[in-house]
Amino acid sequence: MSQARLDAVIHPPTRLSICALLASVGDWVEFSTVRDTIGVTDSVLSKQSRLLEDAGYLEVRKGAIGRRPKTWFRLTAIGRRALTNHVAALQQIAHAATSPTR
Amino acid sequence: VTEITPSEAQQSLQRIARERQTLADRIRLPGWYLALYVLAALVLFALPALVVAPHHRLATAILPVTIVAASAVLGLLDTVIRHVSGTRLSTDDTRSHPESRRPSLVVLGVVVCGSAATWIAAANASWAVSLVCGLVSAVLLVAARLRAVSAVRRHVSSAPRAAQ
Repeated sequence: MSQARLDAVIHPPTRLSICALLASVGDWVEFSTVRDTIGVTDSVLSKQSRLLEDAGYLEVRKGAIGRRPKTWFRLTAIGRRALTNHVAALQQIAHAATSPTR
Repeated sequence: VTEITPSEAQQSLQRIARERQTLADRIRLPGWYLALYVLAALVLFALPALVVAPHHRLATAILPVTIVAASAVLGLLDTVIRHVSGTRLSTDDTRSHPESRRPSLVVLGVVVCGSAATWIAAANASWAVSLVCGLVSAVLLVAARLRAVSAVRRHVSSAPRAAQ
């Protein structure tokens, strides 16, 4: 099995949470849903999502429901690939500690 | 990237699983909608029996309105899920979550077969047979829809897959 590598962009906990959450849905998720689920403030989510967007991992769509502005997030194909590799790396590291050494 | 310890990696994976479960918990149908859904299913499938039942004949003009209204309530499911979960999840979006493909096909099958059975029974057998077919179809439809919602929840809460 090839050695998966940790991704520097996804590595910080908040960004990993955002990506993992969006990957689980596979479609657009509303700003407040992401914020409430991972338990961060508006400003933290805005900042971290912008970094992910700059890296091409995240798409942002702004709209409104009635007069209330809404922001939606979705993981891009690049972001999904990066997350998959990152999670694989985490699993390898975690399993390395539990598997017996020869 | 900086190196991390196995326990840190384990904690990260556990946090992802926990947050996915939190999101999955948001994907549940509100009680008022579930009640409305059951009612709409009962009305839709009991309609043929009510049309031919002695002393309970419905006016012809009411039929299309009732069918449209009941179908609209049944069709609102995905909109309600999107509203309560804050996601664009659809119970019929088999591309995003293939696990819901089978339950969604079952829903379609129940609607088609149930409608056909109740109308055929009302026309050729008796209103009582049609009513029984309708009740069974309504129960099957609600059960199939709940299974489709469960499939979506399972998909969201399932553990992240590693690279192949």
